[in-house]
Amino acid sequence: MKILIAEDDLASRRFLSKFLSQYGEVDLVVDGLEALDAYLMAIKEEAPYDLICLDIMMPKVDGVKVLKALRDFEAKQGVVTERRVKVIMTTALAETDYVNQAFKIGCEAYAAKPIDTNKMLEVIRKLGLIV
Amino acid sequence: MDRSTPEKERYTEADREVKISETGKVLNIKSEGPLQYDKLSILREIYRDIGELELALSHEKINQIEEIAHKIKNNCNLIEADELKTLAFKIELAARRENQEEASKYALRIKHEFEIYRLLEHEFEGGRR
Repeated sequence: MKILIAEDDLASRRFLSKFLSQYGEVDLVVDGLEALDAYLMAIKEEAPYDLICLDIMMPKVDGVKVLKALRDFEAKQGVVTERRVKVIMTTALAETDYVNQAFKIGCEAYAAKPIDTNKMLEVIRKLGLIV
Repeated sequence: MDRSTPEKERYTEADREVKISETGKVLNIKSEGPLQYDKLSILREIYRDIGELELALSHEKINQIEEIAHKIKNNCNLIEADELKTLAFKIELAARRENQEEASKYALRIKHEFEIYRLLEHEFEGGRR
């Protein structure tokens, strides 16, 4: 499984990376623009990410806007819902409005920080990314 | 390496609107407009940074490798050298994974590609005179 973690906080990034590395190859980016660049680079090389963990509050472009750009691009490319990249939004605060917006746009799940690894694992299983 | 920005600045920056073009390029809708830059001085800077990158790689300074690759990537972005930008980004990602071997592999490629880019640019500039 190929995973992209977009997170500007070093501690959270390390924590998520250490945890998710057990399940696949992890790339780390620190802002929304890098997330989009990494996503497009992987698409171009025909090795797309299976899972993207997107922090909501990120520099340059926030996670919700990144998600919107990804979903719009997938729609234009004619990618069916089942084939879209799975996105889990991560959030530090009670950013309910942002989370609701993300669900409307089309994220698969959200994880409040500090991340509960058991819950996250359960979500990843439900998404069919691991057995 | 933590590239986090101060909270206030972060929210202003995150106001930026983006979309992906049909050709797969990131478009900033609300960006500040094109910046003025001197291509030649940027090319010189990239050349210097590639040298610094080789040095950092030989000393296995992973944080420094990431930092230099990041700088190269941003400079390549300014001059729209997409292939070079991709290679610099790959070095940056490899450094974050602490994968020295992969970073070295892409560093060799960027050095080679940069030479080609410079030659082509030189020919182009020469042709315009």
